[in-house]
Amino acid sequence: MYAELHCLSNYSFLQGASHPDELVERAALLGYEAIAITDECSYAGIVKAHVRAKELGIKLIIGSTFKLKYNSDRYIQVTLYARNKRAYSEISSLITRGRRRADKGAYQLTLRDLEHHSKYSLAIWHPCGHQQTDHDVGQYLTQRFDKRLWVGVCLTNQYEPQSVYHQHLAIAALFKCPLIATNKVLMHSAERKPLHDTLTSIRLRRPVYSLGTHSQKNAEHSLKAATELLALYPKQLLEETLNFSDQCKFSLDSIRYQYPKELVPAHYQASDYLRALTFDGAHQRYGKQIPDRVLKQIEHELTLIGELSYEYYFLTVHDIVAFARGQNILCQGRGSAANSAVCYCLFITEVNPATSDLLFERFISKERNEPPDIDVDFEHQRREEVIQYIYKKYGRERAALAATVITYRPRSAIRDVGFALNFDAALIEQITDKISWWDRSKEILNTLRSMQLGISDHALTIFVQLVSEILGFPRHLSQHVGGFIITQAATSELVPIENAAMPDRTIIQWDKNDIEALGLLKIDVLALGMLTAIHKMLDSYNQHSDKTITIADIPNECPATYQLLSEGESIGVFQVESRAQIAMLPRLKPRTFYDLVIQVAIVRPGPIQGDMVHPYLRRRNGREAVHYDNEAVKQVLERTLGVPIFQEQVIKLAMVAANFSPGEADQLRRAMAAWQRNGNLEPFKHKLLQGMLANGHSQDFAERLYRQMQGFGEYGFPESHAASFALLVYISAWFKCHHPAHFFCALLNSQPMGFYSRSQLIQDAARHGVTSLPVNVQKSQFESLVTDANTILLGFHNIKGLSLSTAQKITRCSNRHKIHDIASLQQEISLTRAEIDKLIEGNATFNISKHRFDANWQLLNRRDGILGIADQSVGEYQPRSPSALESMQDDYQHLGFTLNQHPLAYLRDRWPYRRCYQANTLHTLRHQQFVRVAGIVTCKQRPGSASGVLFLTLEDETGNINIVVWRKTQDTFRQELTKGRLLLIKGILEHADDAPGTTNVIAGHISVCDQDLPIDTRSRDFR
Amino acid sequence: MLWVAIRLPYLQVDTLNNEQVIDPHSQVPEPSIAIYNNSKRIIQASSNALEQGVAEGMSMATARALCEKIQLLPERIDAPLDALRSLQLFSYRISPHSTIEAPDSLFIEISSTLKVFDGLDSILAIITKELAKRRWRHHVSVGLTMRAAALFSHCAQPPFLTPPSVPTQKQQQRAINQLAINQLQCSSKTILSLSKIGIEYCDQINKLTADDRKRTLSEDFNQYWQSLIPSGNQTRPTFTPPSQFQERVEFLNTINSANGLLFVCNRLAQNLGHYLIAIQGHTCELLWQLHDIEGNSLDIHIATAQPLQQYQPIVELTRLKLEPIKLKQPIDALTLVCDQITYDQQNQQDLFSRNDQHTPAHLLNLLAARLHEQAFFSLDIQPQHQPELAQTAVKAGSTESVQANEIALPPRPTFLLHNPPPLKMIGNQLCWRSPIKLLKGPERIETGWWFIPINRDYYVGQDQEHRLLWIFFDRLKENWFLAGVFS
Repeated sequence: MYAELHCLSNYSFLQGASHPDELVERAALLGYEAIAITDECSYAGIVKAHVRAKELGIKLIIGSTFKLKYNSDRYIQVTLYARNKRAYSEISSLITRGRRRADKGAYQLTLRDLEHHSKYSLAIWHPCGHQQTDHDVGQYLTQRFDKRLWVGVCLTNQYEPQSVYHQHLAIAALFKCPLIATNKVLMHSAERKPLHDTLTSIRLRRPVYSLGTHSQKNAEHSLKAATELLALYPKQLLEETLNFSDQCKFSLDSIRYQYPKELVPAHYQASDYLRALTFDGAHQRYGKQIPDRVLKQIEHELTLIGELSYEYYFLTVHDIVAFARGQNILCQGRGSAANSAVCYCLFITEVNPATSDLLFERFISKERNEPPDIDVDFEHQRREEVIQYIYKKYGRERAALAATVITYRPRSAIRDVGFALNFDAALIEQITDKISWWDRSKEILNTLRSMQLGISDHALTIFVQLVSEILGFPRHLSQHVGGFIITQAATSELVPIENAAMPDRTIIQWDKNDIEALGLLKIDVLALGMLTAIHKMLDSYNQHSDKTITIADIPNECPATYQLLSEGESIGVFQVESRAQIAMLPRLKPRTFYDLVIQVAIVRPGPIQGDMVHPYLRRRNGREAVHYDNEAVKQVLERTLGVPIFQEQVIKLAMVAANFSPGEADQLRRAMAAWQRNGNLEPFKHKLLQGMLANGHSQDFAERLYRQMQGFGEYGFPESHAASFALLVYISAWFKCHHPAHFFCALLNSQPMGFYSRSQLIQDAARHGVTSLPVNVQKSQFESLVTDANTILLGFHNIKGLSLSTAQKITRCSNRHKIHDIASLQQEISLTRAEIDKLIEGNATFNISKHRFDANWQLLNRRDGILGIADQSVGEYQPRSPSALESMQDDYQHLGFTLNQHPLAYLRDRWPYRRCYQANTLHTLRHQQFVRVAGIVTCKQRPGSASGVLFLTLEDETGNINIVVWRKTQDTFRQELTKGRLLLIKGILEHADDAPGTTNVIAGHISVCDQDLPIDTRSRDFR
Repeated sequence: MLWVAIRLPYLQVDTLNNEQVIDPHSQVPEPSIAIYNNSKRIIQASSNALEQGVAEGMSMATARALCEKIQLLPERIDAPLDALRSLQLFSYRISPHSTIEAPDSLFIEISSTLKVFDGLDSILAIITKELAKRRWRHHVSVGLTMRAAALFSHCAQPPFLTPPSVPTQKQQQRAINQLAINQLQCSSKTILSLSKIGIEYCDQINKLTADDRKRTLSEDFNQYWQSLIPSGNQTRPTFTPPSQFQERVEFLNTINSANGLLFVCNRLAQNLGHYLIAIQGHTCELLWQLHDIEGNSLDIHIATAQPLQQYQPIVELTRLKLEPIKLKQPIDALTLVCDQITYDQQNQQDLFSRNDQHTPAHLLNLLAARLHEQAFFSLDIQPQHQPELAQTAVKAGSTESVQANEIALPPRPTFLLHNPPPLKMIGNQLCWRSPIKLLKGPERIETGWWFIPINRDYYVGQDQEHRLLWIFFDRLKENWFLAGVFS
């Protein structure tokens, strides 16, 4: 009956008030033949609309609306539609042209730009009403589009629709174009009017009450029922929309995507080249004799890759990795790609198929019909080199980063909606203050409802409703962390490209979900701080050693390394340094590499929610017998003692224990991955439970398995991924065990990364016998360096605000040895006053002055900007020495740590701190003893899988104290927990039975003692 | 020299607050007020707000959480100046040498009037009595230089006040030496530099020579430090009262009746009286301006047969003038103007004087002055969907038309009915005084959901007398109403 040809979704940021799928759903419900998503200069919402349209069986037309500059004060509106692939590409290129010219988020196009983008598209033009303009524009557009031009008329909201209709009819007749109805939809339902006004308010930065005629007069620009349309428009205008729709035959399903061809040398086919590279790599890995098992695996994979035509993808990734390796940048593939022997031989991944049981089908399979997705981690400090390589090799036209859609989160939603409703700034602040970083959306809405805000019920109802509607709305596009699309032809023909906020960065308008939905290939070029750190550990070690080692030279299965981990001494070690991991290590007591693989995978929502952790530990520690219901299950679960821990085990169990077919198992896998987004595992529950029961498994086991599936969501680890990470765990732990100075030095030089601050790392280093020497203007380099087996000389990078260029001035100076006072810093190195000031703040001048006060006095003594002129006395004033407390405060302020006494040491003799136990004494107290402890809050973690429990870490002068805060205590002491920096906690001490040395304090009462804390600190907070 | 420093750290709040508490019969409880700056932090609070825990530097949210009914107002840089000027005018009775330092301080040099007023304690008593009467929270201190007095006014317990005594140079220096450096009124950069070289108290600064100070800190600081010490180079500013009196008071809570203004009038009249006494002047004419919440102003002229200097007759005349007045809108500010200081008969202007230029603007002014101002205004279009909000009254003859050319409204009556009467449905026919035929529409307006939702379809209709009517169907009430009549 009708096709709506003009809809702005919320991907026309702050203009459309509905998600693309909401528009599609509503159109389907109203019985429309088709719906066009025509966001302004954007394709950002079309994939989401496409997916939903396919599900509902309604036709989607793809287009985009443009406001084209006609002259200095007039714009004209034209909407272009993709009737075929060429038209689609043409519009995509036009969007790119407009977006690339302007700053992020904006576009610039003139009418003349249509010259190069009007060969294939259909166009609907809405005359502006100015006679001369309409005449000129009509002529121009007719020349460009000829029979592909329509005149659009929107009779909604017209006071005299007959008059408007006839005016448009006359224009259409003049230019011999058909007249067509469009409703200029801004929302899928009239109920969204308040939200639309709110978005307008946010866009114009004026409260809703002051919008006046800037807001829509009514909600008529929404999708309408047939009866309403017939009352508004002559029938022929509605029928014309169907005629128009019939001409649009393009679907996103027809997009085919090609990888760059230049990677394959002229005389090769892609498959042959890939084969050659693979076997070349295999020989490098295994020598002349490649193990049979690996050979077989390689052949199997190459065959499948060939059948699915993925050769170019692998070659592209290989090329990038080869570049990185050539530049000595450490890199490693992660995720399901680590299941691939081909990837191993191409040096993309590091999981050896000879020693691991890989499941290639987890990575690629014919049945799944999904493209492979290889994520490669690079050293985070050098990832930019890789990115620039990609841009340079393929050009900005053929390589672009995927987008990330930045959406409204609770705080931003509250602030913007509050602003729109003209709430007092104090009230908005009051509300956002009550929201903690760990609150989920549903909790926030309940919190809002329960707050005594002092506003009317009506205002509160509207406020909560608008906040809940706007949550998840897109605000703008940002760049993905590292997902690249690389194409053979110009990328802009496939998807529009726009400028990112970072200079010289461009992004496509689709995010990773869109890319996945369309089956496109993406390479993730990710950054991993630990790779940087490991590289630095190796470099540091090699500088002090006779021989040069690489990762491959690190001894495998070192007992001492596993012992260190079993004791929970894993601060700074990759993946196992969180509170939860540290608590798990003494329980799991890893003794082999595979134990580390399990350690990495087991502390995840999947196994935790599935209640698989304790059964595994019991079996591992011999406290429970291992049993299998049948041989098929044994094959799946034997390596994890009968307990499903890895994602693929769960999928396999669904097949062998619950009779899922491979196709059903694959659907289950996808549902698990998407559960966090749209929560749809319920259809599988019945089949799973019934199937498992029918096969003799217990109800309890079946239900736990289902809960585990829910937990796997986005947080489940494939075994190969866990194995990739376990390698880095082992390497970093080995260094910590055997070469702690190099370990800690590398971590300091790789910040920011990991869980812990410099201060905590330095303290942990001291506990492991490594001394840190203060920054020294005469001796330090920019980075910290190891001076001997147990000593680190801290580098200039530790001083806040000291630039690399200043450090280079110092380190490149050949006369450093001549520096003997502050003035000589200027004379010998030509440092500016500001630069010297930074050095003094960081106490790097401790050896050329008596103390900071003295150094500052020397610095202040200057004439005409020159320090210490020979004929001028420094002045008789002699500054006093700073107290230890003053020095400590300055250390924290300018370095973030101190090498002197910990702040708690200054408080220890005072009440109430003298009544508190220190961290290093807790293990001597009895189980369930009442204790008082005090410390600086360094870490807060509230994992989603932990039933709302909050884990705090307090730091005192002797170490760290683990605090557990149950939900009820959190509610009582919410303000203290969110704001407090120095806490005094009364609670009950608990020793873990199965993990000697692991101690927690269950918090009962929490007091804030910030007034006693002489330094400014900030905790690191994690979910 | 001897200086008295008066520092008024809560001046903006106190001047607002006191308009309410000045009337002991007022039923309005003392409001809790706080002023916030651009960073949304509290900078001043009324005493009862302070009692409830509101503090400077606090966030607005915290202030509101502690004091539920607190009124939070933005900082206004200009507001305290008027108050300081009025205080300066008062101080003219004590000494002709005074100066204001915005935003909160007044300095009076009293060495030449000490004997006239029988000593320092009497002068301080006069000052503190006046400040107490105004209910302005204050800090008063003395010093041998203006800067020293200013410095001591920031002390919790300023020296030389209990009992009041004129300090010697040595005594003053000793008092300065005991102060912490962060009490000095110099730049934070200087204070940081001092702390960086280990100086915590002012006595340590004495160890620096002038050359040290200039070289290591700054010339500005050196001069500041030297200005704390008496020298022969001090100047005494002389205050000249303004040639006319004009004082405006703004109210926190509006006043709805003319009688309610009397207490504020009383205060302003007193200030006028003080001014006249101070300048030894008289007046026979003054003007009260009552400013309402819509920005309109009602002028009340008072002319007297005899020149006046005392405030009481002014108050009495004002009371008589206010009695018959019925305020159309609540008043939120009041101004008293007196620019005819010496006695002089003013000729009443004849409206149709032959000497006048009868320009339209001039005629409008005369009409506005002779008629009630609220009965004389122009209409202006506002860019609002809701018809009731789309028109506002503006000053007659004003050219304030806002974006009129941007607003393409369908035809509407000039005047809308204040309370749209419902229409009747007789049979299937809409009726008002006679059956109505719909000509144009509907124009749908849906707005106001954030306060009072409006959802209406507007039509132009015509009755049997060919009157054009603007009617609407209220979709929420499901009834028809008459919005207005086209002329």
